[in-house]
Order: sequence, then structure tokens, then C-alpha cells
Amino acid sequence: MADIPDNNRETDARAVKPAELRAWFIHEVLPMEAALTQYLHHNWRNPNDVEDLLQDVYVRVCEAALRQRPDSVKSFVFATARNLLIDRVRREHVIPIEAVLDLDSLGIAVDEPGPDRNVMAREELQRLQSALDRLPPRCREVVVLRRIEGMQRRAIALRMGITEATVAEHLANGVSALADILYGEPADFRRKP
Amino acid sequence: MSAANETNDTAAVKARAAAWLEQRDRANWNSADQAALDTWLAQSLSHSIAFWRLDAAWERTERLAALRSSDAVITDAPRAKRRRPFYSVIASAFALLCVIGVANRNYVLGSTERVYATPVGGHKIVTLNDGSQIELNTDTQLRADVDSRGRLVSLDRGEAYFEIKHDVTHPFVVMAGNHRIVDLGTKFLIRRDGRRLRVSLMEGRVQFDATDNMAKPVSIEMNPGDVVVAENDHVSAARKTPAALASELGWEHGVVVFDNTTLADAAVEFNRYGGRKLVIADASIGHMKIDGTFQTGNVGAFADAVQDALGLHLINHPGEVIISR
Repeated sequence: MADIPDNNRETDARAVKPAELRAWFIHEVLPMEAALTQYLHHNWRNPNDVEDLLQDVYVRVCEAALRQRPDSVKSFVFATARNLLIDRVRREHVIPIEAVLDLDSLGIAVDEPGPDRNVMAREELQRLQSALDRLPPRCREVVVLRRIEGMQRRAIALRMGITEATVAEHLANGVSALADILYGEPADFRRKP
Repeated sequence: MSAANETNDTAAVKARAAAWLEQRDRANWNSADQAALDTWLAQSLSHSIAFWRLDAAWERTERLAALRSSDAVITDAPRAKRRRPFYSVIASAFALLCVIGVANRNYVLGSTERVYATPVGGHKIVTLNDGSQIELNTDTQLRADVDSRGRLVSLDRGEAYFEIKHDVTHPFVVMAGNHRIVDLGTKFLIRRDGRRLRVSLMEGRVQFDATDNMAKPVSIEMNPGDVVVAENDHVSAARKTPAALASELGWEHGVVVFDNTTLADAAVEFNRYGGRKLVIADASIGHMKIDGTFQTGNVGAFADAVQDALGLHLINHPGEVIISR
């Protein structure tokens, strides 16, 4: 114990345990993805970087949570995003620093509960269904057959006249697109700016 | 380090995570695969996060199964909609022919049909005239009509394991509703629960013609290890390992074998054999997975194991055991 600095011992007690990190991330951080994506788009000139920036924010937030659980997850997530953008600006000299400091003017209500917190089961189902309906037709059909009808890949391949490899490809693309829609876009379109 | 490269890295990690998730969803996913996935996840927090995110989205889509009975989503696909009436006609015609065929044998030519049945918790082995054996599991009824003209067994309900003496001139046919399984010399297991029919092939070959409720009759030639399930209007197929198949026959020795089985499925399985009824009080624990081999009659031992392994709470009543958080 002697070689562990005091400050580490203090923070350990309040840290998110590694075994809890998955649940903590999914329940506390992931529901903010839509707002966070919007924030990054507003504050970064190149939209192609946003996917990468978002992933970096997630990694930084999770690393920090393993050391110490933040008091307010939402404030912490957006502060992390802001710091990340400042780091990038300093490194790449791409855009003026002022642009990333103006969190308040963006109208992101930091204390607002995450959009997915209190969604009723029926609303959730409607949201899932509308997400599903936005997949490309063949991809959607594969996801429906697997996820709703419970069919195995071989049966789906036989039914649709495609190879099992193509079924697998549709499923992988489908789940990626669904995650982008379910987490990356605002739950309620009325909240959109 | 350029921004473009980093973007590619994130995209690559996410694509890999999606590929892992897809693979994990396959029927043949095993512990070696899981170990490989765990290794990949442990390589970096970024890997874990990408996978968790997709996994969370995938889990959310489980709710979509609520749409299954209403058929609301599947009929949105215009191709399926147009197809249905045409194939329905063929399916009906096929079903009618089967009925006529069965009726002919029974009432026109004179029937040698015998009925075999087991009560809940029962287990019986039947040897037919031709030397074939049928082993009946709990709550099962079948009718066997085996003579020089042909060999026909109708599975009315339950589960039976067939070891068929091969005879090219007299194919062995099992009917379950209008689903038809034609043996080509073999050992196989058939389980019928309501509208769901499950055929597992241990040895040899069979042809499975799924007809009941199907928009289009599906004919599958099964090889050893294949498990085919016909349920409502669809058919699914999976390939299982010999060990996994052997565990399906645990009931021959009075046991059930669970391997990464959900608590909900395990309870259904246990309740087939009678005794005290297992009730899962909380739907959220139904997804928890369990492993192990249990005696079919011993609900108490199973419930105790669940309590210990999953940290759940048991409420014992005379006729049932309630499992909750």
C-alpha cells in the first residue's frame, strides 16, 4: 500500500468499477449521444471528424470514470467534449478557439434528463419501428426476419435467395445504422433546433 | 497523425465491433469465440465502447419481438404481401392432399394404427413391428401405423426420439400436423409444442417438408447436427455440435441439460415434467443465462442452484416456486 499515492486511494472509493463500466456507460453516457453529436457538429468545422471526436469523448469519459465517478455526468461529458475540441484546435490550428468555448449559447440544457430516461414502452416501440423503417429495404427485411421473426441465418438466406454471408453483412450494417439512429439522433423530433 | 486517418480508425473499430456482434448472434457461437471476443474487447477501451454501444442498440431491438404476433412489420414488405395469396393456395392444396392421403389409409384401406401416449412426467420406449424404436418424452401422444404397406407415425403432441430401421422400399414418414418428415435411415428427435415443431437430426438423413401455416412449403434435406424449427409461418435452421445434440436427449436419462440457456427457457423446460411449477416473477431476470445438468423431477435443486448462481430470491409455495430479484 505504501507505493500507492494517497490521492489514488481517495478517488478509488468513488470510481466506477470496471465491471460496472458497461452498464454505467450505456445508462448514463450513451443517452446523451444525440445532444453530444449536435454539440460537436456545432463546434467543429469538418463534419467528417465528428464520429471520431465522439468516440474520443467516450474513451476519455470512461477512462476518467474508472478513476473517479463524476458528480454530474452530463456536465462532465460536455466539459470533456469541450476540452477535447480545445486540444484539437491547439494541435491542428484549424478553427478559432472562441468557437468551442461557448457552451451556454448552444442551448444545450445540461440538467435536462436524458431523452431515453422516462420513455414509455409504447413510445420506445414506435421509435424502434421508425428506426427500422429507415433502413435500406433488404437490410430491413433481414433485421426483421432475424429480430422479430427469430429466424436463423440459413433460413433467412434461403427465404431471400441470398448467401449467408450477405445476411451477416446486412445484420452488421443494420445494427450499426440502428445504433446511429437510436442514439445519435434526438428521440423527439420536436426538440430538434 | 491526420484527422482523416483517425476517422478511419474509429470507423474500422466500429465495423469490427458490428462484425463481432453479428457473429455472437449466430447459433454456433461457442466459448472459444467468446474468449476471442473478450480478448478484442480488452485490447482497448475504444473497442469496448464501440461494442457496448452496438450491443445496447441490439438489445433494445429485442422489444420489436412484441410485433411478432401482430404481423404488422413483416407485411410492410410488399414482396411478401404479394406472394402470400399465391403460395397459400398451393399450401392449402398440399395440406388437403396430405389429409386425403391419411384418410385413405385409415378408413379406406383399414387401419392398423396404434396410439401411444405418456402422461406429464412420463417416459416410454416403444418398439414397432419393423424393429424401429420410438422413445416418448413427457406429455406426448403419437399414432403409429406400420405394416407391409408403409410406415406412418403421427405426432399429436410432445417430443419423441426415433431410431429407424432403414428400409428403402418403405420410407418412414412422421407427420406433425401437416409438416412431414421423411426418414432416409436414421436417428432423429421431434418436438411439437402447439404451432412450433422442432426436428433435430442425430444420424443419417431426413427430408423435412414444412407445410403448416407456411406461405410457401419449405423442403429441407437435413444432415446430422441440423436442427430445424418450423414455427407459425417461418422455418429456421441451425447446425449443432454432437455434444449440444446429446444434451437434448438428456431426458432419456431423466435429466435436462442447460448450456447458456435463459432462465425463462429453462423454466419452460422444467415445467414440462410436472411437479412444482417454476414461475419467473420478473421479466427482467428471464434473460439471465444458466448452465448445468438437473434431474427433471427435482425443481427444488434447480431453484437452489439458481438462487446461488444468480443471486436471486426464492419464494416457496406448495404448488410452485417463485423466482424473483
